[in-house]
Amino acid sequence: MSATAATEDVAPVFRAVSSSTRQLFQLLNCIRFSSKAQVHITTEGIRFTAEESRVMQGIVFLNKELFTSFVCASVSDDTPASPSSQDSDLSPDLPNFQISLSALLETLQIFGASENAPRFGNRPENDGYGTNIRRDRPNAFSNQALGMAGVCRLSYTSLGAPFSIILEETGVTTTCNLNTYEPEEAEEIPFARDEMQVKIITQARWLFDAISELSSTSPHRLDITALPTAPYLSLSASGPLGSASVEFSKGRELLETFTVSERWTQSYKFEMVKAAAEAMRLASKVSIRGDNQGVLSLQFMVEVEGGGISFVDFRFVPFIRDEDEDDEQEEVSEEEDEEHDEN
Amino acid sequence: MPILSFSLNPESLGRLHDALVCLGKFSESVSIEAAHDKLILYALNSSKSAYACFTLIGNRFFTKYQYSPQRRPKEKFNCKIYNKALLSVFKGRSFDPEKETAVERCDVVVEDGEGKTKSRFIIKIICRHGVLKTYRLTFESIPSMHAVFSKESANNKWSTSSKTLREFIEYFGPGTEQLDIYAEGGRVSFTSYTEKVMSGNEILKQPLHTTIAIDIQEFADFSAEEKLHLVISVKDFKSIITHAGLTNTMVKAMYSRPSNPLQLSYSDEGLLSEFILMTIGDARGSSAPKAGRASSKIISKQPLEARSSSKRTASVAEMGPPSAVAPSLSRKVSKPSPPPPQPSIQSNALFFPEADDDRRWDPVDHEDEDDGEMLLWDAGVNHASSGQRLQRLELQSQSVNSNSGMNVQAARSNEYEEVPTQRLEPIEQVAPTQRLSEIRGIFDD
Repeated sequence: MSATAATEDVAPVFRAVSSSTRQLFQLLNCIRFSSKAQVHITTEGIRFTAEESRVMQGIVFLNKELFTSFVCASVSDDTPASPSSQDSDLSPDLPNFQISLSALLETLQIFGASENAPRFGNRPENDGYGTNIRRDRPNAFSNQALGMAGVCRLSYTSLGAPFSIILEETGVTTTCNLNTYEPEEAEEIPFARDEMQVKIITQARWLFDAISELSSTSPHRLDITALPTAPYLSLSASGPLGSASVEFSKGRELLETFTVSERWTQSYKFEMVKAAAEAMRLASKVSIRGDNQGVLSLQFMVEVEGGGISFVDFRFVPFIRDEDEDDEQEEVSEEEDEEHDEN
Repeated sequence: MPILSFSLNPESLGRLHDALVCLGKFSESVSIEAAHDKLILYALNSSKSAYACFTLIGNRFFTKYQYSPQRRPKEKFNCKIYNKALLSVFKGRSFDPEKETAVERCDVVVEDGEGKTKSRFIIKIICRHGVLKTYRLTFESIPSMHAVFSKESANNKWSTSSKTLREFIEYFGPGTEQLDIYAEGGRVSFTSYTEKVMSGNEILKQPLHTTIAIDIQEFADFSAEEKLHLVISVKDFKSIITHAGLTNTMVKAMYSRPSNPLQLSYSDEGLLSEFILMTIGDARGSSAPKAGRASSKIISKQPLEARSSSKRTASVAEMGPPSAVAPSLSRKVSKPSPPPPQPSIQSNALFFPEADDDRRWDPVDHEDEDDGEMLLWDAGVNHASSGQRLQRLELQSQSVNSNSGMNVQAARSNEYEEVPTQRLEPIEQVAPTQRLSEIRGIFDD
């Protein structure tokens, strides 16, 4: 991150302005398990992909609805792309690079800092004045409350140029240029949608509650079992102090959609599933899907304030099971065939 | 066939959690003993100077309670579980019925399989919407071990409301170590204090005193010998009162004399709480600085202030010549009535002559102390039936080594019944029969 002024000679490939920085931060925070993220800019929005050891992938798609203006130069003069054209948007001439995700998140957190900083800095001196105002309560005079919400501009000029973020807030302008890196052509974890064996849609907080419950035994492995009959869905884990399991035995009340034809059971690395906990906390609904290879897909529907609906997508590759009922584990790096599904 | 099964409603679950939190302040593991009508959770701290015990009455605390011993009908079941595991199961669940994930019921089943069934402590938490959380915890089977307290010899008693005590503990200075409970002239004072700790000329810890004096009228009942200094650990006392203060109950204290255990107990709807704390040998005023060197470490634990007051008040006391002038070499284990101490405010503990400091800090040498006579032998052991003697001695020797005098007795569950009936002899009659160094080597630590 450097603080040099952005060069504005050439028309940038990509420009976007958003006044909902907090929402951008919340969404990107869901995939902060990795320090770097792949960025794909399309005419529909920006896609951030984070991955861990090729067995876990987290994708956040920032829809252009989150931005007040969104221009992606290479196709910017075209008519607004129809939803079906989305897949073709990943053509090579569209911006595609790697970026440090932790630096980006830190940058977005600067937003609102100008308001908080004096309060933190001068607390002892301030004591005589204004101590009767509770510190954490929403301040009626904050910029947010007065509708003077700051603006965040994102731009990317050309290949090799930095990704610049300009935050403007009540006359304070912060310019951050994040270095971009060569893209890594990481394939998606293949998920066979036509051979899907499990599809469950439920409230994300059930999953969050179950995962936080299981984490108390500090387990290594998480077993997920779905059954067409009770207990329908069961998550279990065992650690050095014993084992724990959570069952959703009254399927009707808890599970909105439940499509399971036969018993399906797979194991995943607990720490990795737990890395999605932030998304579980934030999201309102989750779609839990599993295919015949045991790849687990968790799609979270996040309703951000004022920004409509966004999706955060996770995929996990299972452990190879010794007592092979069904699954020969395939390598992750197959040919790139999957279309991505953000919607 | 489960050996033990019981059910809890959300409210009891919360109370069980509170009890576990309290036990967690004494030891990292919880021992569990099941009998046909009650479940006992207890913990003994690592230095065996404090024992905490919660008795959950089968038909009152639980909505369902069933214990089916495997072999003999009177047999008890004992096991030990790592407290962290239990706490994470019963962790601060909010018992707000509005919450979506609220707990509706908790069923616990203990299986101790001989063959196929695994030995597990199984906890099932049934939440709203049929969400079922099951935990299978491993446990360790242990012999039963309880601290005994002889009520017959405890002639000092008082009781007061837990809320009152709860208010007091808030005034105890942070970081203070000992608590002195002392009654005189219709007032009871609770003094929390820390000794001065020095390394060379560097002061590592400043002495600190906080005294709260309460009129005896505040107590529901007070019949205790006056002018008796009872010294316990502040931390233990705070842990107990923090738990007792959660409910409005009457805390009863019973004790005989310094260096004998103190019992604190209270009860609340099917949950009986009992704590046995070892009190520190009566140091205030009854011993001279020199004597401290010859006997135990406990003496070195007396506060700076105590010494100054003992000197100043020695002539007033019935003890005879001031001990600092003529140090008595063989200190008696305890004296019935120590001289009245001065109020701590009058003490100029911070300004002490150099020479005194030197002498004072000599006995802190922990290495030497094993060679010295530890006059903490307890009568209980010698009167144990010969069959049990070996085991108890072993424990006893452990407790001596760890500088406490808590009379811990290992009693196999069926023997436990007889234990409380044993009468402790007055301690003066029991002279140590062996030096500690001789015991070493006979028993493994």
